[in-house]
Amino acid sequence: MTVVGIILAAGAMFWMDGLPLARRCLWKDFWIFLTLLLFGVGLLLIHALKIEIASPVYAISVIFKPVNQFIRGLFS
Amino acid sequence: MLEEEKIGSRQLAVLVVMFTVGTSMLLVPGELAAEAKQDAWIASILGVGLGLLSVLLFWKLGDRFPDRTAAEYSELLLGKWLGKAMSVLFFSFCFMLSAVLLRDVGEFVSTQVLTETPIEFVHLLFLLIVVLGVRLGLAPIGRAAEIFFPWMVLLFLVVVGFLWPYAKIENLKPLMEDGFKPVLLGGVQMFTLQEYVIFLMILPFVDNIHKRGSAMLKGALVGGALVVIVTLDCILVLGPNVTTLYVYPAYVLAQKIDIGEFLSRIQIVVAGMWFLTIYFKTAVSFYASVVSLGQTLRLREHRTLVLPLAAVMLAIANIAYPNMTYYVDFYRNVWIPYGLVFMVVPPVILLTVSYVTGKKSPSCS
Repeated sequence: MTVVGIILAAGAMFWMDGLPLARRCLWKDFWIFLTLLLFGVGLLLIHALKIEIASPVYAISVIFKPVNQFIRGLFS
Repeated sequence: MLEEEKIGSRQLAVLVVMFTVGTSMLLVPGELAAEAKQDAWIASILGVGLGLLSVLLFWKLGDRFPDRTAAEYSELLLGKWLGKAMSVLFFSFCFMLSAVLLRDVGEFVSTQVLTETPIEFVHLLFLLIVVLGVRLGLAPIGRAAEIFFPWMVLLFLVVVGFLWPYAKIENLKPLMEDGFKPVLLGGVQMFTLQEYVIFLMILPFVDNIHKRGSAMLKGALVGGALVVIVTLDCILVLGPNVTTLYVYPAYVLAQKIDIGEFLSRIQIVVAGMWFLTIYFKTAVSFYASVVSLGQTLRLREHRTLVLPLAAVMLAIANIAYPNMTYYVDFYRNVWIPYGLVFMVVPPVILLTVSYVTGKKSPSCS
């Protein structure tokens, strides 16, 4: 159900904003639009199908936790 | 999202107020109390001060390139590839910020207000109005902010006014118990929650070049004052220990209001005020991320990026944190360095390069 909804919504977005780009022959804009849309829909589908993937917040945490330790060290 | 559409300097000031109050109103008191205990209010004043300093920095930087956004002049200053890398980093910050803000709304609503509703639906509903606003452009967002501003102030005064009878001045004592360092750390934390760097993307869309810097400063001052008052209220009414216990102390605070058993349960007023402000914060940072990506990739029209980026943003907001503890830990431990790195380093680099090479925008009208 959710999967169908996501795909329908993506189709509507493509119809609203993607197709006009192709009609106006703005191919660069069109391909960027399509890549981003597929990426987003892919992520949403992964979440809808309850497949676990690492969140970008986790990546930020891994990078910045040591910096945080350093900053806290300055204040203790 | 056309270049012609401009916002006035007063709308900019109102947007900055909304932006400052946005997340801070509910989250800051608890976070600062965790660092600085009863001195959280001093820490918040310090944070506002740091925020004003950063606004001065962005003002200086923005005035060297009056008609260009950060994404455009970073390319001008650092060369094509380094500049592009800088604007991609800038885009990532704006975009992560808007996704995290969306998650803030979801987290708050699904834990405090609509506890039975799945968080995804809260995200979807809130994102729909954000997308609506961003597709219309900055000018309608600015006008809406101007319309809602008096209401926000009115609700704020109602809540703060009704809380005075509950304030206990003893809660503020002892002053500076653990020395100045925790207060300073709290100040830095407060500063990182006000991501004024986003406005480097918004400044070129303000019509009056000579007034926009001071408008930004005024907005940061007023918004900062509101946050300081809320923090002070939390400490005065709830005390430092209780404030630390809750993720959203300001919401708990409003639950306390009970005037003659007649006017009570008005905590949703605080929530409503918060929805208003965080809407504008999310919309402005999403707008900034759309414009920065569009300009980095040199697209003809930025508006077409809104829908696909919104899909990605919804997905990131949905998977951002596994649970509430992770969320609180992220705000208390990860956002400080992340915000500091992205809010201080790029503008300082850009300003230094601009001064050293003497490059600035030729057209000053």
